[in-house]
Amino acid sequence: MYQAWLEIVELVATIQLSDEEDEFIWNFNFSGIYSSQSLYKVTNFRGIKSVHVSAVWNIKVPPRVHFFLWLVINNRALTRDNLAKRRKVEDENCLFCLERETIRHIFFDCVVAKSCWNIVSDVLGFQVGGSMLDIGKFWLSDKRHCVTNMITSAVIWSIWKLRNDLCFQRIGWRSMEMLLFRISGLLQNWMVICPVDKKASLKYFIDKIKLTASRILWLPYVNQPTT
Amino acid sequence: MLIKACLASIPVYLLSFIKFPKWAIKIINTHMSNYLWNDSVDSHKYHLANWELVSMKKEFGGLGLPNPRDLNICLLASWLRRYQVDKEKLWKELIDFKYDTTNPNIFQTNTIGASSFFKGFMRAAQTAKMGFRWNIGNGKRVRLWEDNWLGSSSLAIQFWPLYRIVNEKKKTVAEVWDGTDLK
Repeated sequence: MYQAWLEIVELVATIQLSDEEDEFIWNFNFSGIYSSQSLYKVTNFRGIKSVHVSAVWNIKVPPRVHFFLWLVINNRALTRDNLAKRRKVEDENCLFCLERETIRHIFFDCVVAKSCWNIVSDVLGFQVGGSMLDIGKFWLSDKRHCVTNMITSAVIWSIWKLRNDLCFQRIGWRSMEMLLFRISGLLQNWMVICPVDKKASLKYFIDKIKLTASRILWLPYVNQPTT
Repeated sequence: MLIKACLASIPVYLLSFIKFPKWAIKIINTHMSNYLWNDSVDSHKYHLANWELVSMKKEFGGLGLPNPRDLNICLLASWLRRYQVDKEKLWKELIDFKYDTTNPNIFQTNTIGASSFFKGFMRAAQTAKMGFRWNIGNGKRVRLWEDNWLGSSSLAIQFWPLYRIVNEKKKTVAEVWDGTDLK
């Protein structure tokens, strides 16, 4: 205890009293003057999230897709397993196959999603779509991967739209080609929001997806999910 | 987003004056979330994410809607900023005189009998206090043990066992330290 007292005496000895008034200084910014913005930022912080969660807003897609992707990464999209938390659901199975429908299943693990990602990987020339993290890592460098991001978002959005059509419009599932044409049509519409210098490369990929889709049409047994 | 630009900015002016009661903040939150998830009186929609997540800033992974409770505190505390910046202004002298803020500093002001604005302001100031540190000048405003002038916390926290037995609690630096001796 006495040791602590000596320590304090030592600390206090460093004080240089002067004639000026005591001043208080704000710690959370550089100017030392209080700003409500900086305090709000401190109180708003609720723990670390992975970096790509906030990167979703950087990519070039329509706002509703932004919002949907945000729901997907936070596992808040209304798939059947999430719906089951809110009310009774008779059938928790995926629309495409017979496994339980979760976010991870419908977008990545389902046979339809898997073969779709395989085709897209072929088109892009590198592997994409292992998981949300796998897609999200490209959001961080949107300048370089702008087109990739648009395509992967289009895939997720189209899978979701198709799933909803199957669910609510009672459209029957025909083939992979249906999904791929949706993706290319969607990307065609998003052409307007694509930066000018990236338009050519996006066009190239759209054509390539269309080409792959039409090939499936002629060979109906390739890449078709077992139902 | 429409909510952020429009709905959330309606109460901002009032938020910077009045400490909102809990029920008011609850109503504001309800209205904002109902709008966000397209809820109405006759049709209930699922709220897919809780308000905690929605009101996080975008850079922290939320939607970036303002959280009125926190915003209220932050804006009220920004009167401290005016207090900090306006050194020789009349209003400051008035406040100093009326509430006896020099006893020993503004964070320790007595709010009994104060106006409701000042009470609200003091609540916010108490919250913001943790973000301030003191630069000691003549030592008349800073309390040696309780105020935060060295490092990130006060001496009372850093030397708690000692603080429990000292006699000179709540004394300013100038009162206990004359340049050579510590009382």
